[in-house]
Amino acid sequence: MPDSRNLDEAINLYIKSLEEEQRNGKLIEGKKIGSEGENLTGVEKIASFVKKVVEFICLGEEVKVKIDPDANKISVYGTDLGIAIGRAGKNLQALEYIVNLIARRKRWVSGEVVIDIKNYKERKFEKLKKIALRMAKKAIEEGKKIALKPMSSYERKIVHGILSEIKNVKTRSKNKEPNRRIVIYPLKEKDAT
Amino acid sequence: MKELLEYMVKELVDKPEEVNITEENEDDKTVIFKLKVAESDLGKVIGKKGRTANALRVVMRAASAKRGKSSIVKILD
Repeated sequence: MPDSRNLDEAINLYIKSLEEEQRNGKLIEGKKIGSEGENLTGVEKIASFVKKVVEFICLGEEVKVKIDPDANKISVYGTDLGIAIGRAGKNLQALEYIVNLIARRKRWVSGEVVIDIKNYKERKFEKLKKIALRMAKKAIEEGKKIALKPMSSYERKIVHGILSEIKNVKTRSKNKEPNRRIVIYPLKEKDAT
Repeated sequence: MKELLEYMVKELVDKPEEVNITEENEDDKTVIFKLKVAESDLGKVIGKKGRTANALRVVMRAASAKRGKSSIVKILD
């Protein structure tokens, strides 16, 4: 016969593992996230807010949100969500800005919340990476600087980040918004560190 | 659409009970939202260089575009 303390411990462990499972990136749908329960974690509250706003923008389109609590990332999925992303991600960016203001104000999370809709950002990152690497290669091969097309601050940040890992080039931005663009400079062997 | 603006603004301010929005149809396609908040909350809905106000406008524009309309958000002070 198991003594009662061991049993309690086992039950607690079991409950903990259930709770953990719930927190870890499960699809949260419908009722749970819609109701403003007091026992939601900060990032769940944010997800609930995001879900409501996106649903509203998209005229009641069915929306699902997935939470990655470690990265403070909320991924939104649904069929017709293009308008919530907007041209060049403008609407998504505005939503993310508002969400971060609220989250910070209410101390729902520490650090920055990332929102993605239908993996838009992920796809954008891959696309920018491809362009950046191809142009960096070209700059090195031809030994000439290459200016990329104008990009938003968000896009430039991504490109700077990607190319900072390439030793034979350096990147700078020039011109004023909205025509600000990245220039890739090839480095001579001895400059490269 | 008023509800959307109200929902966002109430989360942003310190005095949600003083948030007041009126909706006016300028013509068939244009809706004007006049947003009133407590004086102490004005800065919160406008933001540095108007960034918050602009973000609110962008989201409202997205919602109205989906409904075949355009929207204008005015912050009354």
